[in-house]
Amino acid sequence: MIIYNKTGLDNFSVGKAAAAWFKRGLISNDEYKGIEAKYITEYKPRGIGAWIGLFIFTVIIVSSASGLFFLFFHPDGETGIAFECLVLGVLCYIVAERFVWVSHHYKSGIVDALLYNALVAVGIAICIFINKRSTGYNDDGTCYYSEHGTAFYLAFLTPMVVAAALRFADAFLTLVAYGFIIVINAFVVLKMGSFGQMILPFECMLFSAAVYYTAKKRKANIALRYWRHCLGMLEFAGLVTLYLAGNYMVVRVLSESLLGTTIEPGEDIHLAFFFYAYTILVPLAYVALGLKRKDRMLVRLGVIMIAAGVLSIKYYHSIMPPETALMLSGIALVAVAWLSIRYLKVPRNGITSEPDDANARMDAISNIAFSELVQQAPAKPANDVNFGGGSFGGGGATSDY
Amino acid sequence: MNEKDIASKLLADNSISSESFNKIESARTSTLFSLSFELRAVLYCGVLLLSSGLGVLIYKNIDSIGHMAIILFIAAVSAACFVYCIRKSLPYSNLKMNSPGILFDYILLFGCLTFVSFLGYLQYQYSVFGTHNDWVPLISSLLFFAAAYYFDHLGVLSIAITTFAAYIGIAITPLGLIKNNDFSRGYSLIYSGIALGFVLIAVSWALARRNIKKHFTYTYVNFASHMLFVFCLAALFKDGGYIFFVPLFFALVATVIWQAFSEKSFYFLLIAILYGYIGLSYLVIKNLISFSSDGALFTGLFYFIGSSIGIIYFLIKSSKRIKAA
Repeated sequence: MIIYNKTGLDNFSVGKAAAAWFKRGLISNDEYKGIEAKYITEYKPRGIGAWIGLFIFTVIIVSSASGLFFLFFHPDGETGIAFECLVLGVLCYIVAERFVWVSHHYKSGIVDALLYNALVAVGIAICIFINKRSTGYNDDGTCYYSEHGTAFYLAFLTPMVVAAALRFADAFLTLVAYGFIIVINAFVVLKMGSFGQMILPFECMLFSAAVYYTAKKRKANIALRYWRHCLGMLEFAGLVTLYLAGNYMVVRVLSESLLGTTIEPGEDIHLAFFFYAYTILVPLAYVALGLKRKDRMLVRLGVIMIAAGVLSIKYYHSIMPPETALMLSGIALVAVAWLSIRYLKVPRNGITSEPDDANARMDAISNIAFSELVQQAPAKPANDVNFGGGSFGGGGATSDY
Repeated sequence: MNEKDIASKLLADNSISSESFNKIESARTSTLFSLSFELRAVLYCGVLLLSSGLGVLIYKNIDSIGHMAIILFIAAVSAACFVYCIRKSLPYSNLKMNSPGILFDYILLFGCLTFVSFLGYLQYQYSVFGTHNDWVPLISSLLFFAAAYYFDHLGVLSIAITTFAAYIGIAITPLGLIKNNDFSRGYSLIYSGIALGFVLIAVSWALARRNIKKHFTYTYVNFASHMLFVFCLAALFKDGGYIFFVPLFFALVATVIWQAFSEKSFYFLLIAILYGYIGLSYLVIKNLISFSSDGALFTGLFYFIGSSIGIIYFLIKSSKRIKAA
């Protein structure tokens, strides 16, 4: 099923691990050379810089080539455009396969760009065909138009994306496919009428939790080792939708738009209390679980979701003036961070607040973020007395994630 | 296949000795789970929220507090931060020093932020520097440079560079570089930007040659090269001035590519290629548009295809070269 040579991929990961161990001085030079000679792979490791460069320039080539293609063969109406998109997509796909088979590219930027372009082109073609089929003339000559819902389009696109994600073991396409599937799932539940509307949040929670646990369990399965990134992405997406399904703001906005009603002041959504609790408690549970399992993804998601949860409840219920809220939450954050840093100076349960090697790159990014924060300060001195120097958009603070 | 499986597999076929296997296993199991980054991010957000809240609170109550009291308060906070840092920090050294702690970095940063607010407030309310509004960023940036070198803090160095640029009148933070500079104002902004870029590079090389904080060079060169590229591009996009700026721009691209190879930095190679491609394509398209025929459109598309194939070939070759060297 996978396009890459399995032995090649295995040897690739052996080589990567060996290089890391050799760098840390865990294996000797002879051992490293021996491993390199024994585990030969046709796939070469590439840095993120090369990936970005190759991706951008491949996209430029594909777009210019599509432009030429359309100029040479003036498409005739909708069907013509759809047909040319289809041809272009298939061509891109063939070239992508060829780069893997012949030039042994492994996630090189070129293959990814070609594959994504192919899927977009074929996707456009499919959508045009569906749209075309839904309009036409009845036997008596009257025009009919049967509008298909989003789910109908997605149902045709999803198999293609899933197949590509599996064949190329691509994490991004896995995320796209998961997004499609959860939207289809929601539309199917809503077909059940008012009962569907009632159970939608809970059904999404169950669905996400099931995806998360399945992906987590399968990740340990050695037969699925080539799809580990995809499963990791599913874990992440499952956790995100699990939270969003019960987030107060999401539930409220969706129930307003789906039921077509507005919630008057003084009223609230059904089971409001449950959703308030969910909005705050689930992120806390993520953090706690993450610390227990030493799972960085859970911890980070939990921290971001706490902020999102507080903001989404505050959006509807403001109990204090903004500056008091800012100060109190600031004090709370500083206190939590300060106390944890001090508490964890001595490692406890294998958790420490001291930096490790992986932090070095993050520091480089945050140093740039600092400069964004101060820039505005000298330019317009103290006209709104912002003691911290910046507007409280935070000058790229979130880019640290 | 995780690290453990790979290690067991290699042990089984005698690729590694059991001694190495034990080393790998103990390194794997004894690695601590570091929350350093997460906690610092929370601390950063907390400081930001707290200072914004405090700022709004003071602003709303300005009548009952009075400007002088606020200025004194800000000064006291800033001074307290610097006193804390001086007491905590290790003695100065020309070499890279490890930070005394996570909190130290933030308190130093907070001290710097409040210092700018202090000076800015003083100038805004009492015009202590008269009409010299630009003395605020100048004095701040001098203090920041001193603090960056004394305390060995890359974040403060970045602030110092951007504040100094603000003194000259340009914004060089990642977002501000494009957004806040009014390039249409004529060439003076462009000339000062380009001059500042060269000055920064010269200073960083001179200091690195004397072994003074060699690890700062990257920050200087990073800011300077982005600034040089953006200002040269801005000059290209303006009409006229080609004779001077076109050679300068491509000389710059060539120099950065050459430096990227000798420093084995793919990052600088990539930014040189991207900026260079934008400049080259701009010139090509601009000249093609003046023909305004169907042939020009075809030629343009063929140019994009051909040049991109060339660059992809170059990228693959150079990624091998940078890795192999």
